[in-house]
Amino acid sequence: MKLILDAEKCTGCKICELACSAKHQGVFNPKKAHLRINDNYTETGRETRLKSCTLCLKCVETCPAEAITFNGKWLVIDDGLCTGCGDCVDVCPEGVIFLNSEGMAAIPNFCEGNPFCIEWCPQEALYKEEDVA
Amino acid sequence: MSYRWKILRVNLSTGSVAKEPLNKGWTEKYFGGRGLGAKYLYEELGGGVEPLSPENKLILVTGPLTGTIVPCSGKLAIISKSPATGIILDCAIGGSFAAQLKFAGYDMLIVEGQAEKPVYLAINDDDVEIRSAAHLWGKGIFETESRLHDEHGMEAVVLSIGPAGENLIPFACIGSEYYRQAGRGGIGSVMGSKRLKAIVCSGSKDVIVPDMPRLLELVRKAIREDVLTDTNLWAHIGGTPTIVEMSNSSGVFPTRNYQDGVFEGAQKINADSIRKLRPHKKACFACALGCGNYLCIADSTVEGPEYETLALTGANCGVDDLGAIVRFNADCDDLGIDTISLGNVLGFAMEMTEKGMRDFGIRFGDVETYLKMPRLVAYRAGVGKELSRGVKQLAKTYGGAEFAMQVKGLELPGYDPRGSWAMGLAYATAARGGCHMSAWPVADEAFGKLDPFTIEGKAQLVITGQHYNAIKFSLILCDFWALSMGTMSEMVSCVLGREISVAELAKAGERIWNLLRLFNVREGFKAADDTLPARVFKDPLKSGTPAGRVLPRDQFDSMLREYYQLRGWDSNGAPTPEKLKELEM
Amino acid sequence: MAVVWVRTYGSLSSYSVEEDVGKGDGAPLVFQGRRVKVGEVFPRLHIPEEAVSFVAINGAKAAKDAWVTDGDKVAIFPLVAGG
Repeated sequence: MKLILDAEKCTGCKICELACSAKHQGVFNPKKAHLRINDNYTETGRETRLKSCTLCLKCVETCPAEAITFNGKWLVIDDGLCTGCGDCVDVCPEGVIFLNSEGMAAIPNFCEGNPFCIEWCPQEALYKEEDVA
Repeated sequence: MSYRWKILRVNLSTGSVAKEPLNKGWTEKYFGGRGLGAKYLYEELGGGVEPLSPENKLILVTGPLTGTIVPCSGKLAIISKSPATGIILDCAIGGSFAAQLKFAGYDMLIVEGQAEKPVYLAINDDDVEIRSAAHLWGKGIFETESRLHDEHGMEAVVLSIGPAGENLIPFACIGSEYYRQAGRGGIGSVMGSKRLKAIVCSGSKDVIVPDMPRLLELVRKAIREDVLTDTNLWAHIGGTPTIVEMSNSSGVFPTRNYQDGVFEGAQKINADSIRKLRPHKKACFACALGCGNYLCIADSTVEGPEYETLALTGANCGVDDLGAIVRFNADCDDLGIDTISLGNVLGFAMEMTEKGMRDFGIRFGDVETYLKMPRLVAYRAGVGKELSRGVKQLAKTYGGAEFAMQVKGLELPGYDPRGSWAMGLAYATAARGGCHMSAWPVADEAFGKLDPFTIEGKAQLVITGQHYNAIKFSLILCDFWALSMGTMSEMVSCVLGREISVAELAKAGERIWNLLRLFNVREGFKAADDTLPARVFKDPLKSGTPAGRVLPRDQFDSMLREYYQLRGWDSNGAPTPEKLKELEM
Repeated sequence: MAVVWVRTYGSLSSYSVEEDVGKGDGAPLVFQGRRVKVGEVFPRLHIPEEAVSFVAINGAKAAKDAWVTDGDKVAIFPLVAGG
């Protein structure tokens, strides 16, 4: 499954990022969220974009300990195998993998099917790909 | 705990960067934002500091709610002494700088001294550097931000000044994320006088609260039941331009330098005319509402125009061309000029020209000349050299003081006090001068059920509003979430992990208010400064509900006397020793 | 019969089945009789009175018991905080 952003509805409030880091890491820190909203003004206009797991599986391929797998729907990490090397953090093209407070890889998993960010978005701008008609 | 217990202190004269502990006792009395910033400024400045001298300080403050998921908690308070008024200047700016400062590990940033050459401050967690801004000085806010994003990444948030702040214009503002400002009182010129072009901040540290599951539960419920409700949704649906038709139909819409309160062109600059441009809504950090209208019209782009801009640079200048207002607004945002003050300055200049008292070369509705004004003023060029002095100084030189619409040197915002008498008292007694962010009783009078043309009960109405805003803007919560004191208490108690009652918050609100006043008293403030321009007392409005009305001088005086009495202040408008003792100051 | 044009602001539009109440000139509401008290508009549009700050008739603030007649324009404003 993947997340879709309706950029026109998105206001760039970042409540989704805060909800994610709060739920999974127990803290408020956008840099510890598994999705990022880039909503920036530039000299040519405004860009609003979602960064989130696209299931490119580069982290799965890269992990030297083979700690990350794909179960057909989302990523799964075996904490026992993870060595905290950080290769997955570097290779993720969306920038949504990071090392948690224990130095272990924090991997996005769409909250196992019920994304917290979707629940929290006050503008209802986030969807599951399968829910878009 | 969401406090960092850390102040970042930067001295631009010596180049020193220091980290100091935040005063815990003061946070218990003043919390953060407006209150805590004012306390630090009051204690660290003596009386009589020149606002544009190295001795003035710029204090940027977050609050205990900053960086959490509490909705509408994205604002930053910026406190200093105003170059326009010589008294306290408590500004606020939206966007996401406040959150980044907190994520970087600081509750507060204090900037002191003066750099020899233009510099900017780069904050990235513990790394803080004063860097040369030679390549940025002279540039507008938009290009400055763009360049700093290239250097520091798109996630860094920038506060900067434009040419107006560099040129020490008394109504220069600080800008962020292109279209948000700390607007009033020349705060941008305080930065300019320090040769501080910009502050860039990036943070990656966790903000922790004692009971995360409880806070998430509280906030989840609050967003659904208390934020996204009819009371607040006007901000998302339409935004502040919604107020245009409200002001106009109640006859308080400042028209042609406050000569009237109904503008015949209001329908061309109302919420509908903006909705037709299909704005993309924009929110500050952690805001569930999102009031910003990002839009494009005839090659001009802006997030705006806000109500105040539509009022003061639209109706007040006799301009009903929305495209021109958007263009004017974008130029002001780039040059770093307060649209409220500039709109007043132009309205004054237009009336002076039309009356033949002084030819400033501009008349009401003259869009072509109007569009040239932001640039002329920012660079003190041509007629901008005079106009950049503000209406109070202009009237001193050229006359017209009766219709120089300012209080204590700060130009008035967009609600005519003749149509809302409590608003007149609010303007007269606001700490930083003619300001609508101390209290907003126009909502209860012109836009509500209270009789606007009586002074009965109005002193208390204004006092209650001032205390509410004082504590709200110290936690920091945005104006547009009309939450109860009870909800405020719930939020801050949960975030801090200790019970903070409504009574404690209300007392803090009163304490903060008295502190702002003490600052001004030390600067030589007198009761006579709590007044309004003569037009309000003498020139009747012509149209709408308040047609024929003035705010009679004797009524205003009674209202003010009652206000001092209820506040426990003496007849000079100064807090008495008993009052200060009661408030544990 | 009186046809009154009603325009709502903020989120008040969401109460009514009439789509146009939130736009431009608003939506036409038909009332029996030559005139009606403007307060009658609220129940017709299912708007809770507590959500309303004030009403204007033909661009000027009016009391809830003011009369409106055929062709009048009514604006209904939400509660607003701040500035």
